[in-house]
Amino acid sequence: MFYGAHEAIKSVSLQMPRNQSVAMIGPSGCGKSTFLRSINRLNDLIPGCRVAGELMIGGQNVYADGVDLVSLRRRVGLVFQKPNPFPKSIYDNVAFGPRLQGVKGRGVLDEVVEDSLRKAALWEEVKDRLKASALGLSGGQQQRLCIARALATKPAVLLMDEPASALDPIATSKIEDLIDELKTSYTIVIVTHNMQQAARVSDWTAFFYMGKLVEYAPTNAMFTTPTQKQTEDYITGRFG
Amino acid sequence: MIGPPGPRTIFCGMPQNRAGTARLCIAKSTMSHHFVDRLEELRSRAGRMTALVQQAVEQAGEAIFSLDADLAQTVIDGDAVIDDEEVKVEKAAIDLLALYQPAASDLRLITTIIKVNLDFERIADCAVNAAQRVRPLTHDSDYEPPNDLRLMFNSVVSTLRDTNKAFNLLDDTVARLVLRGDDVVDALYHQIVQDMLALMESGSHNANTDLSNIMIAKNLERIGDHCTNIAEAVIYVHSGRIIRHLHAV
Repeated sequence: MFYGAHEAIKSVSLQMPRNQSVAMIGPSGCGKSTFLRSINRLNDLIPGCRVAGELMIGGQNVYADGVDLVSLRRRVGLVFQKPNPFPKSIYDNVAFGPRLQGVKGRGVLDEVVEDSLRKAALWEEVKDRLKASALGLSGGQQQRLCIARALATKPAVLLMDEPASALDPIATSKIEDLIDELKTSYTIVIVTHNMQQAARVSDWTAFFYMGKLVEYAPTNAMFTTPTQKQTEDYITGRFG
Repeated sequence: MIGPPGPRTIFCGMPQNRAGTARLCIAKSTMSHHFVDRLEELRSRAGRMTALVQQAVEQAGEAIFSLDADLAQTVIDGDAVIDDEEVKVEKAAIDLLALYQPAASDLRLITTIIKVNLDFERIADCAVNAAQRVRPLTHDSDYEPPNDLRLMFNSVVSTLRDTNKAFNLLDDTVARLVLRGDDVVDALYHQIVQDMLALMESGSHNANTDLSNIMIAKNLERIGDHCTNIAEAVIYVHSGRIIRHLHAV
């Protein structure tokens, strides 16, 4: 992946198993978020950004000519670091994606909203105030609402960019429990600076440094017996 | 001797390929000095424990071979200090796990310290058990320790020294030497048991003395086993490989 002449991510090759969670760790500027955003081609919006190589999801190269970006981003949901609900009701936030896809029937929408909120472990907390503004929710609830909004379009892959870094420990714990539950149905890719969080929520961990994938291994192996010295130094805090 | 020198040089996990040694590398740290200091403190404390245990074993041997009941009593009384140290090492290690959530080589090192701490404490118990045979042996005015018992003791002391060196320096090469040395101790133990049984069956010897010799040998053999455990743990810290129960090292 290049920003103009600068090669931001170099020759990365890795496979992410279906319905497992992959954590991407590394120091700031190592390319992990850039890589995450390349999965649903969000980097296309950055002028001068170009990609060489292939990125396959379910047998389809998402960088092939003619790929429908709207459809891609429906299949690959993204949850950002800071909760970003729309200034609408809780219901309308979750129904936003399906409505864009043309779903109109009230009954179908109700079902999608409830199902998504349940999967995001938020239904019990908001079921009596679906018409209330999403902005009135706590930070942790807003983040789970954003996850529900992403789930409403029935994605196969869920990308999470530091999804709990703006949350308190209790809300963080709920998000982590949620990730654990969601990964049985979705492939989850999470970027985090919190090493313990990476260890807790992921099945696989990828360590990036200066645009290179240094090591990619099952998380338990990565955190007990990393094979690369750079990985060892990073996860033990001895970087530099 | 405990760990690497220098106020800010620290243990850092991955092995280096320097010729002739498999010791762990020492790296300058950019991480929390607080954690580094506490980890070094833990290693120092564990190192003090190894020195106390070494002293207990050597004194127990001296007490046996010179039939020095006072020295034997010193070993027995000194066990309380070692027990106290064992608890302090364990607490310090648990604190580090709880407060810093270490990973990789740090995690392997701290969990290993918790494990081998128990082995060292048990070695001291073996020294006490052996020292407790001194007083009964003083009743046998003709007591002459079997030659194999001396050989076995020397071998065990040497193995324990190597074990302490392997642990304190996290030296993989010395740890492997320890593993190879245990066969000698085992062979001597079986020889001593056979010889003592033969003497007891002949009825021409003081059975209490023969029994004491067997019990001393048994405790020395147990010390050898604990040294093996510790050496295997050092190899785990070094490589991440659990070689316990594997015969090929």
